[in-house]
Amino acid sequence: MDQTLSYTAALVLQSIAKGHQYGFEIMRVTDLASGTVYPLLRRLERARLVTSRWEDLDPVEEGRPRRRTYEITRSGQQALAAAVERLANQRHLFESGVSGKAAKA
Amino acid sequence: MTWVRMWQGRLAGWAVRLAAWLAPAPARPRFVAEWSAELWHEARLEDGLSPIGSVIGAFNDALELRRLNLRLGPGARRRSFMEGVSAWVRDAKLAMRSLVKSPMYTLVATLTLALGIGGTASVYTLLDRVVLDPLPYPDAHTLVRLTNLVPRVDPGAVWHLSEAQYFYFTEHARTLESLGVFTLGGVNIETPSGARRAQVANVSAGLLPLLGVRVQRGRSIDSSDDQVGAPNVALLSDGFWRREFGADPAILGRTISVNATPVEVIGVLDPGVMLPQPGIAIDEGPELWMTLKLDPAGPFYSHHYLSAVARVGPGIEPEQVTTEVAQLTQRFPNVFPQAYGQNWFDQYGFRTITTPLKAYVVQDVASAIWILMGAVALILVIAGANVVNLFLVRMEARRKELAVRAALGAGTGALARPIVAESLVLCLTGGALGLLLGFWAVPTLVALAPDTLPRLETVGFRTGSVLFTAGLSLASGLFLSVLPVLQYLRARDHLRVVDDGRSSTAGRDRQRLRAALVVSQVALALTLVIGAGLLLASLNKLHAVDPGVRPDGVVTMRLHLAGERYQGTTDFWRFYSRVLDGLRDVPGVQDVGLSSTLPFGGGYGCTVQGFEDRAVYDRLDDAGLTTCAGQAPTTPGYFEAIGIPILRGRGLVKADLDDPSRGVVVVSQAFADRFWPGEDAIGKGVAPSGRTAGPFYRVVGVAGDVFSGSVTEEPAPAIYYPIVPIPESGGIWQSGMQLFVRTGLDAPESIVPSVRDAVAQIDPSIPISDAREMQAVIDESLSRFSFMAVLLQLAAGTALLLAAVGLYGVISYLVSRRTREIGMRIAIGARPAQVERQVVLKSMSLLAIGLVLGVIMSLGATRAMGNLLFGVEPTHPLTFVVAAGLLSAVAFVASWLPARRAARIDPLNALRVE
Repeated sequence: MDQTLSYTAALVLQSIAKGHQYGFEIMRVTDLASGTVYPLLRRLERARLVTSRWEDLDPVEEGRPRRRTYEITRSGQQALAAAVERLANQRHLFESGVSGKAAKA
Repeated sequence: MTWVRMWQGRLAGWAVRLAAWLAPAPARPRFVAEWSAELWHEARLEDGLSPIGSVIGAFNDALELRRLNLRLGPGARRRSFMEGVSAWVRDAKLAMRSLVKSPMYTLVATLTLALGIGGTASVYTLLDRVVLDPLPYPDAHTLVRLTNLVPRVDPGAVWHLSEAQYFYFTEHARTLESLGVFTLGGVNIETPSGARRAQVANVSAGLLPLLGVRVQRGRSIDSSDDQVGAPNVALLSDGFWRREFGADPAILGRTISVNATPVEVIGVLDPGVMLPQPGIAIDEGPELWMTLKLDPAGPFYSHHYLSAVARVGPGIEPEQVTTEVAQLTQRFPNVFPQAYGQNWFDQYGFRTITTPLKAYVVQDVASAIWILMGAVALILVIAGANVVNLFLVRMEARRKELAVRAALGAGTGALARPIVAESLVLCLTGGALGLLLGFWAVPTLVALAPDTLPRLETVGFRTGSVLFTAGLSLASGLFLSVLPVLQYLRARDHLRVVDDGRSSTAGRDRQRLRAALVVSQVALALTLVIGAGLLLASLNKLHAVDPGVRPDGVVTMRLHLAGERYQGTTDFWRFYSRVLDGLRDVPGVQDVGLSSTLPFGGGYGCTVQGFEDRAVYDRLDDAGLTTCAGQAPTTPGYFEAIGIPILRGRGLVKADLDDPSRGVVVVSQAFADRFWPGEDAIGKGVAPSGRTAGPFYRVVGVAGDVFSGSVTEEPAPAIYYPIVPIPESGGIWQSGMQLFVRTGLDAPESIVPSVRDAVAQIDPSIPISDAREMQAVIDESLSRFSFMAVLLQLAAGTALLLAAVGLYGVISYLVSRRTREIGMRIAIGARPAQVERQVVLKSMSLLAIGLVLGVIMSLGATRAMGNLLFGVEPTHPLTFVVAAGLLSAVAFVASWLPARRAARIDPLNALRVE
């Protein structure tokens, strides 16, 4: 995968880096739909920016199914850092708020 | 409202299962598990997301999985491993199919690999068992052997310990934890099956715990048995107990007759107990173990006959033992003045050394086996080079296939895999064949090996060897594919689906690589041929040495007198003269005689002599020599029977023994040269066992030289006393004699039963043992050389063949690639002879480089063979020249065949090629 992250990918990666480890949790904190989050997770995993594993517990004993957890990898952190820097450079676009001419509808 | 959520949850579950069908099959179970688990947790949250809303994404997810063809989570690795395996299996199957399609290539490659791998594994087995394995003793690495060197008397000779040394070291050496000594010999023993000769070890009580010797029945020898005056006791070896006493458990406490003396059997040893000895036939240790009963009170003599094994104390280095023992020995002139004069140290250079026990047992056999290992490893390399060469040719043919694979997006790994798979298939098949070869070769090697090859009884092709073969095959498979894969990857950019297969730099690269392979094959083969040639030259030199005896038609056997009837040398002579008379009447017998020592059987020993002429001592002192010589009590007929010529004077006659007061003696040429250089030995006075006061024997004859151990040594200075001494002078106690019978028979050994009968008629209690033809004794003394020579010749022959195959293959291939060019040349007027010459020249240039490299390598490699050679320098020029010539001849033929084919190319056909 190209190490240049899309904005959404950076968002998802950042939430994982903050410790949100379940898919649905990520959906909640990023406000992204599952149809966006999950394919992204797959691609991030494929690119080795995140890894995943199954919770280490016995579902029968605990009385609940095992969930899949995601963690950021070292190269994920690097890619994220690069993305954050890039996004910071683009922040000036938003600094004066929403302005300028809008085309006529 | 909960039932609404419940239904939503159920619907979401169905949706997930539906979506799963879009995901790739291997990912489905985990896909469902992940989504269901999330929905399950979400449903239990107050502010959970809407199940239906979130589950829409599952379809997207499944499609994404399909696109990435991704497998989920842990187990994915296992699964991808399984897929990897199946890819390998697939490629291996393809490789096998394509190998079957070119049977010649496959056959040649597999057979050469089988030779290389099987050979290496076989010699490895030998190496592992004989050299690398620890000795079968507890903490064997702390065991050392103590011996003495006397460099200025007998350079290279190793003397054992004396009784004085044994007691003194036992008491005073702080670096030694314990010290044990033993002697080996033979005894006459009465067994239920009759009289026979048995191997006996006389040991000090401390030796048995030192070597971890244990009894399976009864008790072991302890220190109370090893005292002067203690009752005679014996331990039986397991084999002896089973063979001679039918494994009778009632043997314990029974008294047996050993040399006509009653001895009580106190125990039976565990099977496989052995003494650390390189020289004896080790397939069985001593049959009988008895005590030495040395007297700590002396008297002590400078008689060095005790083989010594010691355990080094904890944390002590062998060098510290050597230092301490040397210091202790220096005190001997003061402590044991009667046994050790100061001149032992000043003039003879007498000193005591320690050798790790293993180094002693394995001795120079280790270097011989390492050389063999090197030889078979070279064969493996040569075979490997051949296979790589053939491989590269095949790769050429597969360029298009590989190009297609690359074009379809196969990664590096996927492209290399078929090559590696083919290499592995070849090597594993070769390895399997090599295994068969090993199962056959190892017993053959063992059978071929000289009896003195130590620890051979433990050699067999076992699990370790099989594992080694498997590992070696696998490693070869991987290693051999490295070059082709690298070549291929380098050339990948040049590969095109459409390629006329004629001109590309990559092709030239491969040709250069193949040429390099052939050059190294030639170099390696030359090294092996030179090595084998040097051994062959040594063997020729050895056979050219006059053995000093005429062995044809001669049989020799051992007689040993014991019992009340044989109390002195007169009794001995009475018996032996009857034996001689009896045997002369046996049809087929020409001459018969006895002497105490067997030439080429080792052990002429060194016994000090007394000289009438005092000037002899001065001369010896000046030269730093002792008076010792091989002292052999002898009967008339001996020189005639074994075929030692009498150079001057006469041999011994019956009258000399019937009237011992004559006091005559015969010496060998080497003896005369050493003690009376430049003088006539006849008439000189000499006395046995260092009796300087006489009475002296008169030398009446000088006999030709013989060798004690083998012709590689200097001839032994020998002196042949009559077995009956001058009256009142004290005899030489010699109860064991070697009988020599010269026959006119084609099969000399057929005389043995008649000899047995003749001896039994005189005294049935005297056993005859070790009957052998004299020629066999001599051959065996050279067996170490011939063993190595046979094996290295085999290795060299194989290498020669393989190098020829390699050269032939490469030249043929070059010719086939240049068919069009050659055809064109012929079309415009080149003569066939010119074409032929050109092709041969090409291969001769490769050969020349290979030979130069080979000579350089050989100069290094043959130096390691130094102690295996005899009369030949490791740089023997003739051998180098002959070896190079041989290789050139083979190479010429190998390249001439394709050259001739090239010369016969029909230009019309050639231009149509491709």
